[in-house]
Amino acid sequence: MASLSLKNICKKYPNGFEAVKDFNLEIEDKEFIIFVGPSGCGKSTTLRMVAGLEEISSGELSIDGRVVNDVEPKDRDIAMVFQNYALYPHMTVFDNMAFGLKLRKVPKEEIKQKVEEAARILDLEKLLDRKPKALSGGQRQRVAMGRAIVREPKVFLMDEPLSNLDAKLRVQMRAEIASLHHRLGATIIYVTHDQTEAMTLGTRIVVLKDGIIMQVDSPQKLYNQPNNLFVAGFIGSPQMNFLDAVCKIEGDKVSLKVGENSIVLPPAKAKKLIDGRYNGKTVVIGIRPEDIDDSKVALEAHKDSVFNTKVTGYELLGSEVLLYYTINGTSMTAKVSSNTPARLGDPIKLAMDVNAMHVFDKETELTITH
Amino acid sequence: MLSNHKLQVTLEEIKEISRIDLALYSDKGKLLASTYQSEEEMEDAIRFFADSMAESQMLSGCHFFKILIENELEYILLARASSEEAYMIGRLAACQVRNIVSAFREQFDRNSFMQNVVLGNMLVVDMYNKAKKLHIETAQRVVYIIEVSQKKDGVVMETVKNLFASTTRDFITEVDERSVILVKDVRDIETEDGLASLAEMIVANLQTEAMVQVRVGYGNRVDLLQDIARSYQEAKMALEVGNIFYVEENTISYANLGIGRLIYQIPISLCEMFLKEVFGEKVPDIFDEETTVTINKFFENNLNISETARQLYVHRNTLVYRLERIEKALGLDIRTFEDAMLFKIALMVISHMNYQKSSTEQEVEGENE
Repeated sequence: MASLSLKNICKKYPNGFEAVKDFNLEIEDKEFIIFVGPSGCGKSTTLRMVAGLEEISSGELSIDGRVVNDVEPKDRDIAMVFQNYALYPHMTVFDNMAFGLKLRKVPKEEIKQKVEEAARILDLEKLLDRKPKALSGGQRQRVAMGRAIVREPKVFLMDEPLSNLDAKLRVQMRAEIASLHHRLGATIIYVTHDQTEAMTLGTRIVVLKDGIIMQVDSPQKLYNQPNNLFVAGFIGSPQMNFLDAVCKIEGDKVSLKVGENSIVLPPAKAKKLIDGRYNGKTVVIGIRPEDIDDSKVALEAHKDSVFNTKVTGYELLGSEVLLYYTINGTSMTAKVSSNTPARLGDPIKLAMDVNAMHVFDKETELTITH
Repeated sequence: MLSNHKLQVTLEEIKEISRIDLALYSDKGKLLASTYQSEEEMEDAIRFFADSMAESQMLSGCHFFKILIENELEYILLARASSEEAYMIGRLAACQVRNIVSAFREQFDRNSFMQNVVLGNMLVVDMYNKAKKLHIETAQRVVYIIEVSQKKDGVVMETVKNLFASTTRDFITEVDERSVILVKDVRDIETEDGLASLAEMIVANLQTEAMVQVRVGYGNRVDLLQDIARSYQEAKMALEVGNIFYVEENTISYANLGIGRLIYQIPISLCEMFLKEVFGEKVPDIFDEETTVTINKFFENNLNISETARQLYVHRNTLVYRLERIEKALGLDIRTFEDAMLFKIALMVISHMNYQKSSTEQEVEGENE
């Protein structure tokens, strides 16, 4: 397997469109790295530049210390799995997996050994004689993976490999890919727009927007300590709630005024706003739905951040309930226990956990405190 | 034509099963394939047998068989033994060779027929007669052109062939070094999204299997054989227009070329006139990186100054200053819809002219070489 280094990578098309801007990333050997972001953020373009299927406009790409900008894709020792990938309909699973090796004139015995090994890893041994139409969606996807595995590449590149599968199968395949990474000990770059996929699979996640890296971190850190409003809003489902507030600093005490309510920040968070001289400025409060509660304990514990509102939407998820409401004209969501007595149209008191609160600069959208 | 190697392999396989040596000669007595080393000169015996009325004969310890393709004598097969078993194996081998050659010839004819149809090299009357003979039915079809960034190798053709090998309704052919043509029967692909998915699937498979950069252009659906040439021309145009205006796209449909289709068809003289009208005598040379990025981002954000400034990480006033500078240089205030539209079209016209100019230069260079 291999390490990768992307230094100041840019992709600019002749019409002036910049798909990727100054992309810097070090990927370690055996890492499972995820590129995530909305459609058009440059994640697939970056992946294709790594593969050599897209020219690098400027910057340097190295695999295992060797600069590969001018190396042909087939000589980069990589394998890819795409979402639109199709199996050869007239070939058996074995032949589908062997096809690429046959084209490369690999000896028959070696092909047999590699295909059988890949089939064992992917639990496809009993299906080797079947044709694609006799396979389920998940099995077909495993065969597609098998075609990449038999090449024994240094790096696997996967571009939304699960997006053509239904929700149930996606969850199942997600677990299989995670276990595959563990078994192969492979370096994997995985592109997705699905933040759940990113959070569950990656050892590190690269969040992209408009061709720029917004943050590179572990899933836990991205969730708990987002660098900016975009990452905070993109990671987490349901997404983080955002509220505009005016900052008021009185000595060591910092309060954030939302309509008639004032939220007093704990000292550690308050210090960041004092140091940043935010007195009188509008900031953005970020609070995750799971950090808003209507239980007695929460209302008691966070007396300074209790809001009176009305339930405008109620969704039972099983053990939890999503409550929709508005504060100061902004739509909000709370994820509370299903024991809540609140129902659609009820007046309700909700408390925000100030310790879990994030505050962002309204202008730069960067995090002030989390 | 079918290679002698394939015939050799066939004879060897039959020998492996039957233990009977076989040899295949042309009707003129030339040895094409054999499972044994012959010590005798067989040319005269072959000619003698070819001229005779017999369909099979025993000569010099061998069974001789005639192989007729479309009622014409093409090959003579020899089974080296005089036994009954050798006679039977010889007949089976002759039958096998005849079928292989016929199937190959039909496939070859079908492909070259479709090549001529695609290029518009056939009269409509001939087209339908030949199609009937080759069992090519009338169907709704779309032409896909798969353009490879470098000179293509066998892997590209092999991959495409295998993707569509399970149906005899599709045709795969090539007319130059950098592209593969797929004439796809699309009766079971009802939507435009389906056509687009097919194009994306081809790109994904070639990128994965052949590891080459490819772009796929495709034309509109056509129902008649003589219209396949039109679908091919449309696919070609889709690729060309895509090369000018939609470089970041890997798949381009003729049906979705947008304003690029219109601009592509404007003659260069009219383009020059238009640019003169917009910019005056000389196109202003202000397109440095900063200006290009600013303008593109401003258009991407639907002329929204605050959002553009935020995304460019510059102060709103800085952006306004840049836009004013652009106005001074161009005489166009791109903050207004009218001027923004004019400027966007002018940029596309410039791209079109640059592309045409570089294509002409390449052609001249090619001729000089």
